[in-house]
Amino acid sequence: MNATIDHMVSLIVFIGAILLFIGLFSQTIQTAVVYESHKALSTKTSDLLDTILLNPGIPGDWGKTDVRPAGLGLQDPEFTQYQMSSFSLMRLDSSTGNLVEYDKTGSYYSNLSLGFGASLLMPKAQELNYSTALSLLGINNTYGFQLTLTPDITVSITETNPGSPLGLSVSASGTGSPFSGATINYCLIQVTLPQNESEYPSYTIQSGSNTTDQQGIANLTFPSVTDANQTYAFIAYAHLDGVVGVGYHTRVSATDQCVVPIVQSMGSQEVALAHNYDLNNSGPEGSSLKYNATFVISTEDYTLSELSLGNSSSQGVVGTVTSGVGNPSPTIPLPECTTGILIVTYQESSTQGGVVLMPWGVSSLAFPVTFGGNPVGQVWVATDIRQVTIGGIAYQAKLALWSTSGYQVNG
Amino acid sequence: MPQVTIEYMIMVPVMIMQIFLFPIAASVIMNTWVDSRMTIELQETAGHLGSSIQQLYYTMNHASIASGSLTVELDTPPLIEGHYYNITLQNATNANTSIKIMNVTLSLAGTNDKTSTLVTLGENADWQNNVIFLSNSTTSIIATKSSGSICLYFGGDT
Amino acid sequence: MIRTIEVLLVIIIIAGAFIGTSYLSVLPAPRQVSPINLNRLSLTTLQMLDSDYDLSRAAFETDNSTVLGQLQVALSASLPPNVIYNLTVYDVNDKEGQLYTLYTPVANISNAESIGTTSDVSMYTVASSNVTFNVTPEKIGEKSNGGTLYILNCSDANGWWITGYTAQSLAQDLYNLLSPYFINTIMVQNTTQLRELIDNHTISSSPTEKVQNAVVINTFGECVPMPQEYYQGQSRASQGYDSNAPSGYGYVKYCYTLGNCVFMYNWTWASIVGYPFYYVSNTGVFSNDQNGWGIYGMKMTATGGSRAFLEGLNNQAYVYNSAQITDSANRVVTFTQAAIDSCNYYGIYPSIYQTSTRALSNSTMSSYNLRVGFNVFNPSGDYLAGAVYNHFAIGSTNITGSLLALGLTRTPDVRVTALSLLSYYQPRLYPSEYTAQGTSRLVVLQLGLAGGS
Repeated sequence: MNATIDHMVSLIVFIGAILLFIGLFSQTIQTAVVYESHKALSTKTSDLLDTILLNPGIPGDWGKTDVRPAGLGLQDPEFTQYQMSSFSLMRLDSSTGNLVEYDKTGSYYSNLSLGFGASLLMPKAQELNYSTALSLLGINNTYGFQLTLTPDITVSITETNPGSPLGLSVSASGTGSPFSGATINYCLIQVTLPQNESEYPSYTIQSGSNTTDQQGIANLTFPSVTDANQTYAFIAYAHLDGVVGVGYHTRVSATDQCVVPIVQSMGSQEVALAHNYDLNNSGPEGSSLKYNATFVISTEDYTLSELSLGNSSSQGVVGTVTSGVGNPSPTIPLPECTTGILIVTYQESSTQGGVVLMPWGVSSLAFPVTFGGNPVGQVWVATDIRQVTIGGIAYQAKLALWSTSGYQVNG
Repeated sequence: MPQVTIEYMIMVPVMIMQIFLFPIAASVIMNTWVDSRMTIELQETAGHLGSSIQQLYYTMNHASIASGSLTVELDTPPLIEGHYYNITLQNATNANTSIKIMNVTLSLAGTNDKTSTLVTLGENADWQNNVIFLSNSTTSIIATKSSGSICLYFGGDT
Repeated sequence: MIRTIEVLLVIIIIAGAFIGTSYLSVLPAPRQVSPINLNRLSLTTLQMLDSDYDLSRAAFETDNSTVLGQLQVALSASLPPNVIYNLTVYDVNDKEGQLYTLYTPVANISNAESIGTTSDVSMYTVASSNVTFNVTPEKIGEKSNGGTLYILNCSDANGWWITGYTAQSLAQDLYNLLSPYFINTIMVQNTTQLRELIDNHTISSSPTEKVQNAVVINTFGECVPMPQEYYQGQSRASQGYDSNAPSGYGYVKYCYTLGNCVFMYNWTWASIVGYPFYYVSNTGVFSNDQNGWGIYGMKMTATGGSRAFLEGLNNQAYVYNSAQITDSANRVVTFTQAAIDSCNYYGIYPSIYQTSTRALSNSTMSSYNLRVGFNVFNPSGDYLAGAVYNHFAIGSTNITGSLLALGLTRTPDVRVTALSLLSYYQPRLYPSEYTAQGTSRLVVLQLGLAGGS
């Protein structure tokens, strides 16, 4: 009897142990298989990033139209290699932008603005969304991704002295270190608010250059600016050995009203000038602002050159924008063939006004771009990076890719 | 003696079962590992091949190239776990669109492993449909552009 | 109990095997499993540093510590902080000999003593600044069954309103400006060759010459060369001479024939100055005729010539019509913004301000089913000093012939003609690889990741 029990117990324990150890060894093998999948994921990431960055898409100029592309690509069709189209990037539905409703049309816009002073609102209906991008790339239901394009050089401007004279500190830093010894080419756009009711605001541009010190900082003074309430916009380009960064800063007079440029159509290059009270119904009707809109392009020596809008006799387009659904908003056409900056100076009263910048092409003010899903919480995310150029500005393109189909062991 | 009988009745069969069980278990576990590796590597190769074809096409499609031929050496492995694989290019284009979609199918010889990937190309892309190339004799992808049309095919040792 | 103890021993042995296996089969670090493609990162970094040729410049100034220092700053600023780099510049040797070394290192920049055990490299060739840089233009008409430019260079014709130049010198200048943008650029050397074109025959041995969809530039100003067959009494007089035309302007019929050719072959006919088709010329048959200002070998067709041309272009029946299609107002006209943009793009810089005294009436052109395809100058009301007109048959959306009419005052600036055609067709320019002989250096950028293997 004891022998029987002994045999039975030992047999059961033995079989149990065998099954347990087979399971444990299988677990080890499964982990190795999962790691093989991870390795394959990194190859896929590299291939997918090159696929996105090295083809202009179908059609090649889809960034300058309102059509949905048949093939997704961000390369600038005028160039080869890793040179991206500033316009194609504008048409990506940013995952960081919030939605804004324009009361006059009832349409929704993605707000890609980066802080106060520079505004970029793109029509939601014309943006390429993430799920469409997955389909176009052929990775629907198998992979998820997030593509981020970040400027290599961060140029930040702080005001060290508000007036008499105006003092600005320009700090340029790279992803890895200060951008020391870099040349800073800057433009100070001083806004003039006329006293006369019939006149419109205008501006003058003052350009110059300086060099950053060992900490990547350049201190600038403007003796011509004595008024601490002077409205201005400041744009600075930091460049050294092919690496270029852009930064900007604005100061406006105390007012809660402003003009907000809204892109209506990439295909017809139309931008509407909206009153900020008409965005998300944030203010009363009937509030008016006089404006003067001008388009500038950055030349090869980093100065700003004006391109005429409107008729040939005037550089800018002037008018009045009034809040309220019953008051139509003015629209202005922008050039199709070049990136640049739309500068809109506006005036509420003889002493209150401001200036807003809108980049025509994300690279004009070095806006970052984030497109795609959220990698947070994913089991395994592979990343790859490339150095790219967008409109002459150095960016780092990073793709994070993860599998959405889970990991299976075949056998 | 009864306990000797029990011993022979129970433990001997168990012992004989072990002789088969351990090798079978080890074999199954390792086959799982090898099969998974093969499948993953096949998928990785298919994806890389598709990406290479697409990059080659867009390079040739650039307007700066009027005509000519470009050869890209493949950096995919000729064998996967000792097996060669068949590469087939098929047309998966939707009739309603002007673009062309190439279905690159890889099937591992001697197994049931098969994987495919879709490659989006422009309307001027051309290739031999349903022709099978063997991985162990295919070392390059060639794109030839003439009269605006780009023909893609595989080449052997260069 | 002995069996149970034996089984426990077995379990201990197998457990030992499992523990040993687990200890030896160490999972690789995530960095090894999913590495960044350092090769591509390295290559794209080198390309970016050389986007304004700064890398090329630095590679040839390796003795200049300031330049190398700036390069290092740019490299450090653009790469992620956890990336270690080692950039080496090699001189490419072209000496021969037993101890021949292809590459000699001349400079090195690094941000760490050791690159780590895992790294990748890419290589980039740079050339010094004293090499040529080529641009490859897109070819006009390549994708639309065209691609041929004919420039009238007829030795047996004279020009008018091209004072100070000869048609042949203008033809050569236009050839230099425009030949890179066409598959074939062919000089029409005499009126006999022009007659071949009218008959839809090629005139060169080039297999890619196409008469259809060609661009034809008349360098003879207000005058147009005429083959002798169209002379009164010759074999094609019926197509070249209208005996009923008043005041001896009978050769308006030839202008009609030319217009019809433009329609049939979908030519783009370019008139470079003045009133188009005001004269016809052939120094053989018109040797005793002069244009009223002492230039022999030509015959006036006056205002009827352009009307006849337009009738032919519109494929309507020929009727003599001497109504003017231009006015004579003296205007200073300016390029449109699109034309100005093209100046920068193609590197052709005529004066933005031009004088026009023969601006065409847009409403008159419209009556011949001609629509403006491109405005060269800003319009002055109904009058266009320079434009490309496209002909559309009624009910059709296809272009069947075009006319570039530059109603400028003499003497012509052919840069305006070249700019007009390029602005209309907009061929793209692509920079191509440049080659250097004996002045190349190799830049190798090795990247690794900080933090060990």
